[in-house]
Amino acid sequence: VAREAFSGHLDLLLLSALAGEPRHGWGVIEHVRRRSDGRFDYPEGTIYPALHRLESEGLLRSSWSNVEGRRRRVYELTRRGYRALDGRKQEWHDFARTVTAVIEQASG
Amino acid sequence: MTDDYVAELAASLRGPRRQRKRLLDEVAAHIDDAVHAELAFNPSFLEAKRAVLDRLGEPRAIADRWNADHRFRRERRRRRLALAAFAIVAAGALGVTQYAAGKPQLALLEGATRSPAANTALAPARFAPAAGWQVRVGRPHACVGFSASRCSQVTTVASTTHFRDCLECLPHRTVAAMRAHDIAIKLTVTIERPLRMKPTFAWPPRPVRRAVAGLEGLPARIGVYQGSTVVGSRELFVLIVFGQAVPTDRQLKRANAELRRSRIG
Repeated sequence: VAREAFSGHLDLLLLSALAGEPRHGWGVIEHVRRRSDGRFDYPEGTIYPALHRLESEGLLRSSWSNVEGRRRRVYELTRRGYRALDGRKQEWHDFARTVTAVIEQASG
Repeated sequence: MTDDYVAELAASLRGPRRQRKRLLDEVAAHIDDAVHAELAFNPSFLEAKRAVLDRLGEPRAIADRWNADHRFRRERRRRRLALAAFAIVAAGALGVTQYAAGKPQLALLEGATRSPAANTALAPARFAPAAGWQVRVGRPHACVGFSASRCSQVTTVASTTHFRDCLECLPHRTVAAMRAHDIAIKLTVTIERPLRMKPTFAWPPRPVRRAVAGLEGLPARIGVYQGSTVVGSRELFVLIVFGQAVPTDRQLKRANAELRRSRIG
């Protein structure tokens, strides 16, 4: 899958990865890669500025934690983050439905 | 190798030291975790580390994204502080003026904040749409997070396709339905007291192809032109969304023609 396809939806992917379970940056990437069957192809480092930005918008909160002697910054969704996720999921479903309808009409 | 990578990233980052340090710590921790996992598939430590750094991307790319976000946050914070300072000064000044004139100060203040639409100085931009364009005009309202007396704005949209979003939102639904040759122009007029923005270009703007870029939150196939300037006492923000990343000459001409015919209220 082309990188450009991910870039417009990075926020949605990050919020989805953090829904229900706090994760650190690398954990978020691993989760998205696993759920996308390894097709997630995006410069991994650029998710950190995105995580910081989402936190500054009040959609995430984070704290340092120590896991097996390693220091990690763990992110979780705020209540506002869950609301934003619901809204963006709805937008995505509307978009996907629209495109699918057009494509199927063209092929059918 | 890791140190070089983190050092290169550190050299390109802008912004508060504590936030930069946090980002660098996170990236270093990411490298540790990822190399640890990569060693399960790649027994060579050096090759594992090289693979991890490849996936992480160029330090410059991370820094560019970070610096752009930092600039945006700094500008937003500066505007809020400026408006807060103005509110204190203005409240004091109004108190002195009204005391001298013997008028009820509170009623005037309440009127200003309760009724942004009553602010006759703020009128929406007007388009004179050519055939094939649709126009939506919003209502004047207080800027988000501010009282109407401090900051009011109103948005007008002209588009070659039905504009499906709220006038203040990122146009996700409109973009989803946009054809490649479509155009949507959002023009927001803001009155901010005091006026802090500086003129950056003479109205109207003349968007050119090299000034069109992607916008975070919108699909990569979409091209966006953004500009802001000051005309008289009004701050003007223009956002032009093209249905393709690189607009054609015809699209640019059509957008320019609409902007030339527009009138600031």
